[in-house]
Amino acid sequence: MLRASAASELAGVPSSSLVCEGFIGQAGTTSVGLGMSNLPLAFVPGHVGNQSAEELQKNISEITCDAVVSNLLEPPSESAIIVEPSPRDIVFAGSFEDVNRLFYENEWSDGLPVVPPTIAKIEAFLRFTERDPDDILGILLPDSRAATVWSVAVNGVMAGCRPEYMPILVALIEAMADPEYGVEHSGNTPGGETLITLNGPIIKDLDFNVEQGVLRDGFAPNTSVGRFWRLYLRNVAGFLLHKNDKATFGNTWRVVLAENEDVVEKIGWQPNSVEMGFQAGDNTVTIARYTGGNLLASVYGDTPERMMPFIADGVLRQNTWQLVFTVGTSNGTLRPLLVLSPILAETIARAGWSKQDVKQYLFDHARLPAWQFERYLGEWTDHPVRSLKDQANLGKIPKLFYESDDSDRMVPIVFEPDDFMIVVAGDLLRTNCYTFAHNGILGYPVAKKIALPKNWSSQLAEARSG
Amino acid sequence: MEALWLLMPAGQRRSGEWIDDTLVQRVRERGMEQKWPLAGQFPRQRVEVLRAADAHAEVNGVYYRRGWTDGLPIVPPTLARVDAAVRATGRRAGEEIGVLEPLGGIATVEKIAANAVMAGAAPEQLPVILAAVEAILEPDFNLRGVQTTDENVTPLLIVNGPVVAALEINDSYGALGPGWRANGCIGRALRLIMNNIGGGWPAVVSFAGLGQPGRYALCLAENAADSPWEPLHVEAGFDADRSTVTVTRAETMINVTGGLEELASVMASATSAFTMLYAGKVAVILAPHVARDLAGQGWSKQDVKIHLHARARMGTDVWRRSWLSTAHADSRRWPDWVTAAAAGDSVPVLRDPDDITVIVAGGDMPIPQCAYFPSWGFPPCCVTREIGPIKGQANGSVEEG
Amino acid sequence: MTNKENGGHYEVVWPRSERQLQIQPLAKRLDTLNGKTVAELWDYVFRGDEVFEVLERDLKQRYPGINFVSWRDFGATHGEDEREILASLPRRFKEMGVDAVISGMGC
Repeated sequence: MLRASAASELAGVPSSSLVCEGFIGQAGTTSVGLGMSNLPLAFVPGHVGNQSAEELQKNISEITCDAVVSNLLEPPSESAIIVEPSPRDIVFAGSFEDVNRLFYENEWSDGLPVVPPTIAKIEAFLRFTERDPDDILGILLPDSRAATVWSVAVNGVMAGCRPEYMPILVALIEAMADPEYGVEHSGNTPGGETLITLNGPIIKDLDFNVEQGVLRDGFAPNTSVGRFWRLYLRNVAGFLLHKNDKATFGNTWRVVLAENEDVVEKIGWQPNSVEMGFQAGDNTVTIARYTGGNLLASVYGDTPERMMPFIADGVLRQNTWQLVFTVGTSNGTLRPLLVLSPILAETIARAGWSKQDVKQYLFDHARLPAWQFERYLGEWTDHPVRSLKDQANLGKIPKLFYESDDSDRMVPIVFEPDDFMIVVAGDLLRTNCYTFAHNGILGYPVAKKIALPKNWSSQLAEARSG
Repeated sequence: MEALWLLMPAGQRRSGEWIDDTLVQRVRERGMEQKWPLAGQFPRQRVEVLRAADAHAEVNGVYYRRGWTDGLPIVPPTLARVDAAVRATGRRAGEEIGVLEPLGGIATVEKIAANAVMAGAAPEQLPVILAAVEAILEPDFNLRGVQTTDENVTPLLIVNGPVVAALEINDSYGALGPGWRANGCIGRALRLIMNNIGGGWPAVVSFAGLGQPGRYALCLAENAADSPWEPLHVEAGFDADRSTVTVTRAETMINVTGGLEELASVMASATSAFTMLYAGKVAVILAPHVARDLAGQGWSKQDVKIHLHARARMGTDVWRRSWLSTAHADSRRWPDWVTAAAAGDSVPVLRDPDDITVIVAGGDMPIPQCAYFPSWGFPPCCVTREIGPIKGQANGSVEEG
Repeated sequence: MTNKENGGHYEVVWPRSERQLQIQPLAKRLDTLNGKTVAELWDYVFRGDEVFEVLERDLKQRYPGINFVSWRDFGATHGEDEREILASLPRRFKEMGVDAVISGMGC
């Protein structure tokens, strides 16, 4: 919304931006990232979600209207330049406790002790990338800070990563900076958290956990890389709670999900890296945001026909308001993720099914009646786009969403089978799977290839022997 | 080597800029770098660690040169002191009370607390200071005007209710002078807040020609015990057992030895120029002796106001020759109630009796020391805010947490 | 109070990174809204339709010559078409003679 205002200003047209009480802090900081820190805002009291029509009208009339007028008629305050330290400046010298105390008080820490980022430690990380420390991987909203390779190393040190994780960290921030991902949405109120999926031989090189407890802390690579992600969102993207990170609840950093490529290969499936456009055997990171998920326990059956109905039902149930990412807020951007344990994947593959077949099944069977789909859009979330018929007729969504006027007709939750994502990991022998609820365009899946330094093997050996 | 962990008292805008970034420009425009050699020179962080052999002296030197003091020594706003002050408010440290004009720094509870600590305020004084900040944030108070005008206006703080005794706010002998910690520190805290979060630096943002001593601190309590009438806060509609702070925009006080006639004569003078122009709300302090005399003759407080309003009149010829009438004829539009009266011999200095805030204060003695505070600025404003309870303390609190 | 025995001594750098801001000047403000054309931009959430209705009514009362271009004419400013819509604004504003914009809803 503010981007529309900024675009107007750039076009020479003065703007007034309507913001609710809870958004004010976020608006101010977002507008800095747009290079317009003094974008004038018009305040709407409270939150529109729980005001009656009369209350809303009264508030707009009595308070917002005046603000709109002054936004458009009064000269705005000046915008000044912000003075900040250079990357190699020593900002503080002190004990472990003092460093942590300062970092915490200055909101540079997630609340757990950080590893003090000294130049020596940072340089150890930099040896694991061919890139120059001053290389800019992207400019990250909302703060518009430069995602330099140096800053990746600094935050990697802080997170407790090992220097040899650096190639993954660089690839992660390339992904974060990709506009497709939408990092600027990382502070939105639904509070989804990024899931990082790792593919390739680097999983074994660095001893990532792929088996039991793959989504739980306990293994340094999975855990510290996950922590790095959120520290980077805090320190370089600029998301701070109670300011421009507005997650209602949020979650903490997700541990990195590494796919069990041995199992995938054994059963003749393609790894997630191939799904994301790379080759089997490539080292890749995939990022996407999810607002939640559910474990589906004890998937019963020895054939896909027996197993899949329960799974499809579970996947369907995770997607309620998220359907606006299929129709409405953005069309066809919902990418539900299913994580299958190896035993489930093996059982399904044994029947001759590929990942594609699983996706097809989900597409065909994770369906709900059209009237219910529309209820999620309209009655329950008050979204202005409510009619599948209208959207299909306008050509904005596939025709199959409107094959008849029968409101009981079953419609899918995504546009096509390939919208589903499947990863194989977890306890080898537990018949459980996990279904993630995706945040659509506000954290769209993006994958990047990991670049290794030319002396990777020897450097890795040296790191291990130390 | 000592280390002090300090919470930055300077104002930060929503966008992340610090008001000092603008202040540095203002200092340069006025060629006053020598006065503020360290303006804008500090880490843009929430917390700074300052190390020196004598850290207390170092902080004072650095803060003075950064422009963060009133020229007198300050108490370093260490995290421990700020934390104790924040706790006494019962609010969250990061809670935003409002945005202070003219430079738009966000007054968070912790920044208010940091400045209060610098002023020497004790934690239990924080609720009063917080209420005073809320008062100057009222749009009608026109903080922008107060901070930037060429006039010597400053907020006058009048405290009422049980908090007066609890904090030992002086309402008697020397109530407007030095010696009582609460009076001095509460008033001073507000000024530091206006300076460091709002950016009303003298000579570069505030163009007050002279300023006034009240800009160091101007805070007293009403002398309820020696007053024959209801106290100010009850008059304003609060229950007697509530505590309040009342704030007006006050130009320098004029001492009046005597009674209503003397007060009226002073009110009807050139000192009330801006009061007249803007229908300002003025303040009058009656000495206990005067109040008791009047009450004994059957006068109510309202009678006093009506009388003063009627008697505080300037000769129309004097008014026509006045500086405001002649020097700035184009830009000044006198209110209707003044121009209408100018048809006759004299013009009233005040629009309405209710535009006079009357309190009883000072020592009880036969030579009565009264005072008049003219008003500056628009719109007419006299704000009363309730003072919250003192939290986070085991003993000596006015109300239990 | 550094305890070098147990606490160690660390010289640390800043964990953030430099802002790469180009400070864009804002467009010049108007001297009045009378006779001006105001465009409504909406991201299709948070009851902007109701809000714009009230604003139109009230602003027309205050500035009788004002006229509005509805949000319907632009489409949702947030979502899949966002980039195209924003890119088209300068041209469309010129064509429509738009003098000012009200954009919502940040909630």
